[in-house]
Amino acid sequence: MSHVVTETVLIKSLPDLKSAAAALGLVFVEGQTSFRWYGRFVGDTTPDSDPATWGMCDHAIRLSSNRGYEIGVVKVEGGYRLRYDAWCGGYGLEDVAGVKLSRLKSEYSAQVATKQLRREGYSVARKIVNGKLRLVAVKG
Amino acid sequence: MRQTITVEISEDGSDVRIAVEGVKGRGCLAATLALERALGLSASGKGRKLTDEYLAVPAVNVESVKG
Repeated sequence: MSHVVTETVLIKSLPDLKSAAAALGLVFVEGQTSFRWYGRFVGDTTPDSDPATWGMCDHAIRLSSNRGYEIGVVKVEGGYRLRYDAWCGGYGLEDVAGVKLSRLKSEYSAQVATKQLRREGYSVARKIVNGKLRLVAVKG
Repeated sequence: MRQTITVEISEDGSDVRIAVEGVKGRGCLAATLALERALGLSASGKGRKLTDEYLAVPAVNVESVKG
């Protein structure tokens, strides 16, 4: 079945997305122009984008096992958005990247913030508090 | 003076909260803005006050706490 969703978080830094993928054990494939999904729109959902473009991307992210569906990294104005087929959890994809790619998005934000804070001279520690990822940056 | 910035990211990655301590005035705003830019956030047009919570787009909330 086809349940391709486009995540709303705008990815502005590909290096940080690569770092986030690696941190979760996912593989970022630079320049891969298609991503694995069901393969055709069967009209069972209301599409959030033109189904004719589903499966197309500028880069892709896959499981290290190279099984299951893949995440398409699609260039848009100002950055990139993530797109994938969520049917059956993307056949293992959501087990690693999180439902609606939550873990990947959270890790991406952590990578971006950590790099920015270190650039400003802060030392950064990270911990999980009530399910939330917390970065504590200190200097002085 | 010791400066601390705490960034809390929700489990689903869609909610980011930034708290700044020990950084006064414009420095507090600058620190918050730098993180916002890095994270790809932008203010909603409601205006920005150091002690106000405001909605950022797309799909991310940012909370700036007083310095």
